[in-house]
Amino acid sequence: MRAGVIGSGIGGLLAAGFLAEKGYKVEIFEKLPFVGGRFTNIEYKGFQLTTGALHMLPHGNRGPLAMALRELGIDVEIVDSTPVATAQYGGEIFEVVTGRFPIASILKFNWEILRHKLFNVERSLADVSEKLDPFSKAFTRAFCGWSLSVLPEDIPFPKMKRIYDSIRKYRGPGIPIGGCKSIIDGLMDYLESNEVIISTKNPVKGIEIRNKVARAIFVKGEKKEFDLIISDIGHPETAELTGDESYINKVSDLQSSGGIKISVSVKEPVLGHTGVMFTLDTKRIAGVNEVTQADPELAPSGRHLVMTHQPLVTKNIKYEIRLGLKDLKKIIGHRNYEIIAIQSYRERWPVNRVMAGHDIGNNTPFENLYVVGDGAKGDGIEVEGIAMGVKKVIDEL
Amino acid sequence: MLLVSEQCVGCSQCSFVCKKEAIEVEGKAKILHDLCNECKRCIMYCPLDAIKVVDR
Ligand SMILES: Cc1cc2nc3c(=O)[nH]c(=O)nc-3n(C[C@H](O)[C@H](O)[C@H](O)COP(=O)(O)OP(=O)(O)OC[C@H]3O[C@@H](n4cnc5c(N)ncnc54)[C@H](O)[C@@H]3O)c2cc1C
Ligand code: SF4
Ligand code: SF4
Repeated sequence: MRAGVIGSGIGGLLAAGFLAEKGYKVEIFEKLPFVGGRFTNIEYKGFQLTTGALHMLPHGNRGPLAMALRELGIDVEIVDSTPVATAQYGGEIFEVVTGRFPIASILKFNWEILRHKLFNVERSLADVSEKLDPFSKAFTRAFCGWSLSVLPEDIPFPKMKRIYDSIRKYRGPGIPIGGCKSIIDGLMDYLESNEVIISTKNPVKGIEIRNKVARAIFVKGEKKEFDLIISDIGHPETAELTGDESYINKVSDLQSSGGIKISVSVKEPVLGHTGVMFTLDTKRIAGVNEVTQADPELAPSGRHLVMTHQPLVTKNIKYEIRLGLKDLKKIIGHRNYEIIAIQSYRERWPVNRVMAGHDIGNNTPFENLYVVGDGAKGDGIEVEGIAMGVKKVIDEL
Repeated sequence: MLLVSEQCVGCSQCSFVCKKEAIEVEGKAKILHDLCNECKRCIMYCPLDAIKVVDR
């Protein structure tokens, strides 16, 4: 059986790995000159910056991605974050533990979960968090901004409940030694030793559909036939490649979520730990990490790499960046810092191809054409959801 | 001459690979034409095909 994979993001590479393991003859097509999509390193001024991600696996060593890599025998060293998170709130910094949340708010949250189960009331997370104490409310906002790049107003409450369950199950984040790229390198070694063919600078121009079956891929004037096609570029772009009007219309409403990441160099640590610091006193920035606490090689010696993340609130990017830079000053305080890069993400190079809670799954109207990656990752967070989606597709074959 | 189209989202990938430090990004890429030698490396690395060559 021959499988063609469109896009070499982490979703495409992971799917290719499992297909090769199942005995498929796999070929991957990538448009850019490098593999890894939004989950790989890009060196700049001696810092290992990234094309997207914040060098973090949402569930560390216990999560679905780490489990999938181990299943393929790919060895990546991941440092689980300790503490998982701190919060900067009211000018103070403290560890986020259950005891920090007032019991009344925890009870209210659980009551809302029960109410949802019993009566299936449809509400956004904001409707629920509105009823909580100021700390819990601000924390909810920062958590959504950091891990989903959305505002509580935009996320259905039941979705949050499922994320909450998966955090309880898999626990907090981790940082791969070497950053995102070490995972991509591990996958590439596996693919190469399993004879998977990968071409870069080779965009797919179309997918041929005949009698409701995806038959072939068009690249550089060539037509390549496949029994199975996996797309890592989200539903709307996949639909465009098929040219199928009803598929295009069906997915035209899907919205991506945007965000801004600021990479900062400091001498004096800002966090001093390998977890996340949620920032609750800010206008836009939701959280910060300091990946050099886990792997000092991600920055030149004597420097720390601090990365902030903020969801996009308005469409005015320059304004959003300005608010982010103001927040940054507040977070960093008296320390000297240098901004290494400001990167913004939206539309067709977003934080998430589908906004959390609005996912339509991996299937397409064509039974041998699937979408993987963050354009179809179900209820999981970021690359963990991507790994879960890939496994689901593989199990279905 | 290189021009950046409306498609640019400001991901900065082009500026990281430019060897002439000829691109500044803050929300959107801006090419510093005095420094640019038109090597076209940035064009290849843009995920959105947002950089185009135009005649002067
Ligand atoms: C600022 C930011 C911070 C983030 N932080 C984290 C984090 O800390 N942890 C985490 O887990 N996740 C994080 N994420 C999310 C994570 O980066 C993405 O969800 C993930 O990288 C998406 O992978 P993918 O395989 O779905 O898609 P992509 O990485 O986008 O891969 C798709 C690939 O397809 C290629 N392609 C597109 N069109 C074509 C075509 N026609 N033919 C051939 N190839 C094509 C693209 O060039 C690309 O390489 C973050 C994202 C951003 C932007
Ligand atoms: S063409 Fe070359 S020199 Fe000019 S901006 Fe692009 S990468 Fe830099
Ligand atoms: S790589 Fe493309 S989208 Fe990204 S900043 Fe440069 S021109 Fe804009």
